[in-house]
Amino acid sequence: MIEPYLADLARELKARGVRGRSAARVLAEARDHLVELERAYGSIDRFGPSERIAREVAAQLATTRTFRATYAAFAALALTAAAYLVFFASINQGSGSPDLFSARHEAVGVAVTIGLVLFPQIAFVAGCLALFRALRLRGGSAVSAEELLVIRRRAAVA
Amino acid sequence: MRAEVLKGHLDFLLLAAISRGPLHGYGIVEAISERTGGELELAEGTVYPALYRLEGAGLLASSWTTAGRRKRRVYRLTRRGRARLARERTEWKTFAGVMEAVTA
Repeated sequence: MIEPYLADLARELKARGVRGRSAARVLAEARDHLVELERAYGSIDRFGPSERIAREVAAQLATTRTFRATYAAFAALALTAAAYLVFFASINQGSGSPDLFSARHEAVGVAVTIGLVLFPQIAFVAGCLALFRALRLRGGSAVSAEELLVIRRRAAVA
Repeated sequence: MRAEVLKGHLDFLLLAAISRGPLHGYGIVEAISERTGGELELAEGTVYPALYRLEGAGLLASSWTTAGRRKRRVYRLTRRGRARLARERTEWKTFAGVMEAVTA
């Protein structure tokens, strides 16, 4: 009774992208619980359908992973911003402000300037939006796939 | 009591069950069942996503032990978990008092 259930649960977890150590942990905990249930009640029905357990576990793990990735992305963004500040401060203290427009190829200079000014701002805004959304949703139950997709996209842009 | 009644209170119940000492998943469900006289019905497997969420939020910590030849994950409250439980208890007492006053 237990082994077929665990095989079903493993298949359901795999179908939802829960693999490796995460899946092994869920299955080990389920086995321990099922053995106790069978011993006490002679049945494992109280554990619930494997499809439902796998769906809820997968949703929870995806939420946790997305939030952690968002915090890591924002931390990386903050480090990059600090590095930017140090970089420009060191240029100003050294040979003065860089005149990118006087580059040999003016178009390249313009593109580099736009990149230096615009891209960090886009990254900052996207990172902040992802972080604020993650902070607003944290602590609750598993977040919907749509919400997670929004957070992941913003973190990816950042 | 129907499972829908539990919605919104499961985290509180889990923290309270673990507050008396470290427990594994089955032990947590048994502790809740004993204290409620079996009044609460829940699909027992659904406590695990909730436990993972509470652990991810830093309210629980867990570690592996063994039970015979089986691996067993045991959960315990962290300092943040104890603080959250105290806050939830206060809020629940207030809520229950208000409901009693209105519905009695």
